[in-house]
Amino acid sequence: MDTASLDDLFGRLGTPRRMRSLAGYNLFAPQLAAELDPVCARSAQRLGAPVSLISIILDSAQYIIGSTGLEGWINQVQGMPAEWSVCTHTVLAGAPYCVADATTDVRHERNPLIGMTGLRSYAGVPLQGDDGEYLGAHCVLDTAARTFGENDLEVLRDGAAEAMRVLRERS
Amino acid sequence: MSGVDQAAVPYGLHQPTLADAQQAVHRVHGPDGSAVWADLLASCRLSGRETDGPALARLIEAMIVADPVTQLCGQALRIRVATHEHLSAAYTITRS
Repeated sequence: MDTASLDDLFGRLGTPRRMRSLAGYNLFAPQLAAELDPVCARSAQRLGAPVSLISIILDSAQYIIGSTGLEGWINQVQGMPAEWSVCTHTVLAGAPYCVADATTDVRHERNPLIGMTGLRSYAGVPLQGDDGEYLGAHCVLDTAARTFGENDLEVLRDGAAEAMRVLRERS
Repeated sequence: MSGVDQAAVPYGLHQPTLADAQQAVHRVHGPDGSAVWADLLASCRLSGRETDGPALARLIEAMIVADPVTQLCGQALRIRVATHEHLSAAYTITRS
């Protein structure tokens, strides 16, 4: 992604209004992962997916605050640059976002994360704050190509609602 | 792209700089950005013209304990720096 595109992306994600909305939650609470990891484990189990995440999309990076099945540098870093994150698309869309096969999807063919991680399919739903801002996403990821349906998205919506309940308790 | 470029810019990811941090602080704070940036520099005794990694690390440390919006901005920078370090090191190891 070139510098102008990055500036545009970071500008859309990092508006003062959206950042103030994110700052209304205690996203660094020590027990947050302990409460959100089981939500991810439940979604992954119900959808038969190896990885599930609950993430906040900051102005220039994805910050993973709950997860299951995550390994390697992304797990150590607890995130990745926003321009590589598929969850960024979910937040910007403000609606469920699915990728059936990232290796043949023109929206993601230049995303280095695909080659780095073997990610092929994705389904995510946005986390929406009470003020209407889209804070992040709850998603599942798979190394196999697959098509997600409405029942799959309903599982993710359940998880997202639980994640927002936890976050509101910390606001 | 050459091997040297790949280690410095793995997968097209540039090492974040103090200039990136300044731009981010202005972005997330809007009209208050200049004042927040000046306070941050003063708190970690930087001029803002530094180009080295340790200076950026000091700034991020200051951001992480600043106001809540700056904390989030600092967390995003921390993630970008750590990603760059991991991928740059991994490239160097696989090529050595």
